[in-house]
Amino acid sequence: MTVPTEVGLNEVIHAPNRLRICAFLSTVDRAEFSIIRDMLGVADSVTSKQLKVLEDAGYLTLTKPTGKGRVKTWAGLTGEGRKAYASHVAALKALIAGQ
Amino acid sequence: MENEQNPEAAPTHDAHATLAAIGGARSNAADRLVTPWWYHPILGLLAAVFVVVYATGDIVAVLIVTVLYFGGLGVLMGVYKEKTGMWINGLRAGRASWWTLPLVVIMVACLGVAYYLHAVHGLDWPAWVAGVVIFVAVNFFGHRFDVALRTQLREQP
Repeated sequence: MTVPTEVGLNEVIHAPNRLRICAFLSTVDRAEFSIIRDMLGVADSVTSKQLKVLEDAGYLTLTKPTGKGRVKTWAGLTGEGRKAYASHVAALKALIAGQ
Repeated sequence: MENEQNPEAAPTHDAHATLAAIGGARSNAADRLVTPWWYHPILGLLAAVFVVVYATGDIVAVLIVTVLYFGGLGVLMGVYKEKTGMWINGLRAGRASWWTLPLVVIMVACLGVAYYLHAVHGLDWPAWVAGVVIFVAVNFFGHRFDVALRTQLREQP
């Protein structure tokens, strides 16, 4: 079942893990993969999958800065992602206010 | 259980739970955004040295200190990111950024006044005073920024 569009919720962001990723990343410019994974409390593969979905939707960018040592992946919300997340939160609040 | 690929419409109790989850993620970020104790003193020192040398030094000294200042900032940022796994731009942190703006104003003002007094009146001591003021300001406003940011993050979304 898809989300009724008149509710205003974003079906990409609405999924629990992706929502928490967006909520977390909305507070910072970017965060490292392991921090996001630890925040979610899930495996690397689950985290990767959720980040990929957000990236494919244009809401998130993934970068792997080069340098010495292990390459780390950093994630940050795009402008579009921040707007989509803010709209989603506004829709949630409207849902509560309308009860 | 909610299907991640085809989420159902959220009744209000789910919306409450969802907002609570958002609050949890934000609090998690607040818990992790702990600035290392050495961060602001080193940043303050870099800024202070930059202002003193810029106001009183010759062109070679200014060039060297400029490279060292921005290089030092880069290293500081890199170490912060390595240690916390996160990065936040102090000028784009919502209401907490209000604590960053006075710092920018103070730095520009101190640099301007110190440079003027040295260039026009040949005075060096104002540059040293400016350096001390900037060192203190970076540590004061930096700490206030951290506190404001964590408070902001722990507020309900």
